[in-house]
Amino acid sequence: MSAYSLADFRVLAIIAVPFYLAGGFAWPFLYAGLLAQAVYLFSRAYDLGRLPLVGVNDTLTFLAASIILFSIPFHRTLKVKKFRWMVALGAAVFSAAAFAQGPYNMPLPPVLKTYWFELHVSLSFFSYALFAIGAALGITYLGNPLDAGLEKKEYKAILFGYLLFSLSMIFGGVWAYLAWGTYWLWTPKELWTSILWLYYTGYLHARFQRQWYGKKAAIIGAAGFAVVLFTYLGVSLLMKSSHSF
Amino acid sequence: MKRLWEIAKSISLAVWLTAAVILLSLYGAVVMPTHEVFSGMSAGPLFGWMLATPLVYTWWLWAAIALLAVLALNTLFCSIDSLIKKRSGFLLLISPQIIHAGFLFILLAHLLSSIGSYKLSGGIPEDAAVKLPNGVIFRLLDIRADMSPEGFPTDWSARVQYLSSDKTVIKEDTLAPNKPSFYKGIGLYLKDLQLSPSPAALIEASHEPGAPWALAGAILFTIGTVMLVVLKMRQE
Repeated sequence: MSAYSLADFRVLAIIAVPFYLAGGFAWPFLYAGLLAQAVYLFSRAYDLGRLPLVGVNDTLTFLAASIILFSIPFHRTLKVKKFRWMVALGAAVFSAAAFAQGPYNMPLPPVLKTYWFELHVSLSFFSYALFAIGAALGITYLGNPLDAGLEKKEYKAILFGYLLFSLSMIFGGVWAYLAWGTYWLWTPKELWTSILWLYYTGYLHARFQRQWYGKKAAIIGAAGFAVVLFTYLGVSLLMKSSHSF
Repeated sequence: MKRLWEIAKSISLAVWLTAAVILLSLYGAVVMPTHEVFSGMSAGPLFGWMLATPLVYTWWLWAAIALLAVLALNTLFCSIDSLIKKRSGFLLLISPQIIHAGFLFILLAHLLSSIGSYKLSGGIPEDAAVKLPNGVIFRLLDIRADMSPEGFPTDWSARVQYLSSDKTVIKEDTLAPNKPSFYKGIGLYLKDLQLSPSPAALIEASHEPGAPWALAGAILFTIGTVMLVVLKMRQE
């Protein structure tokens, strides 16, 4: 595929932003934005011969698309505008922020050419998307505390995200063992990753407690996405580690 | 005594211990990038580094490890209590205990590696032989590197031979990125290559006694969490 056709597909990544914003008004626009981003990501994967998961541009685009993808089962049963708007704005902001950096098109270093890397990163971003959806559901519940179903949906989103995040950490550990001879490296990113994992472990346990169930658990679950954002963007951009962009 | 047991196996204790470990880790994550002393943390066994490093840098890690030890006991007690009381159906009862077992195995893995792991590395010219701490001798046979037209290394590998003390060849293997060679508990890793003036490879020998436990723990944790997710998705 030529650079010219890739530039064509890049338009799809750009038009996903207004589609997502329009999705705040009506769900079909979110599907259109997702379709545009999916075609763009598949075109990049085809062109590069690997999943586009390196750098801010690729990962933010992947995260935005994942948020919309994983929100589908929720908005099929949920007709709350506030939730739809949060998901739409989140996806639009991440999609727009992706353009802060150009896409990484260089050949990957040999150590990154492994399925373990692709599993590790893709599962991380799927879990981040589910944590984002959990946060949106938690905030929606806090605005509608009589709808206990919202809090249960928040729990489900976070629990499934927790499974994927744990798998991501496991695959990362296996990869690190094969690449560097250890399944754990003491860097700020790894420490933040364990903080994030411990945070949601704490949430899942706290929710079982009568004194935490309901509003308090919803706040803890929603606040977790701030930890996600710092673990993903803050640490990768600000601190020196094996995960720096 | 009963009151003590209630606290020791309680979920509340787990939540507060987790919160305390998070706070200590947050402190660690903030100070780690600001002091050069932390750059050596992954170079050898963690406890060796902690004992050799002033407490002013490591107190948060000692405290976190102490709390994790209490959390490990709390996890064990919680599982024992759940199994004795049998408060829910079999699968819903057993899946959190499988997760707990996986978590405890992973903690054990970190403990074993923090005590007994080691890494040795050195530049080895082609055809040179090196004796490893477990008595095994290995020889670097040759190295190969592929470059892209832009000059980026796209792939590289090195062939090694394991030799007995009387120089009999025991095994031959190839090292490459993400492809170490394992023999008698030691992994050989190809870290870097030098093609000129004479071909040589930077090879690291690594011993991670916790690795099998970490893998077992990861498998248990995954099985238990998948079971729990499926059950909760149906139930909630």
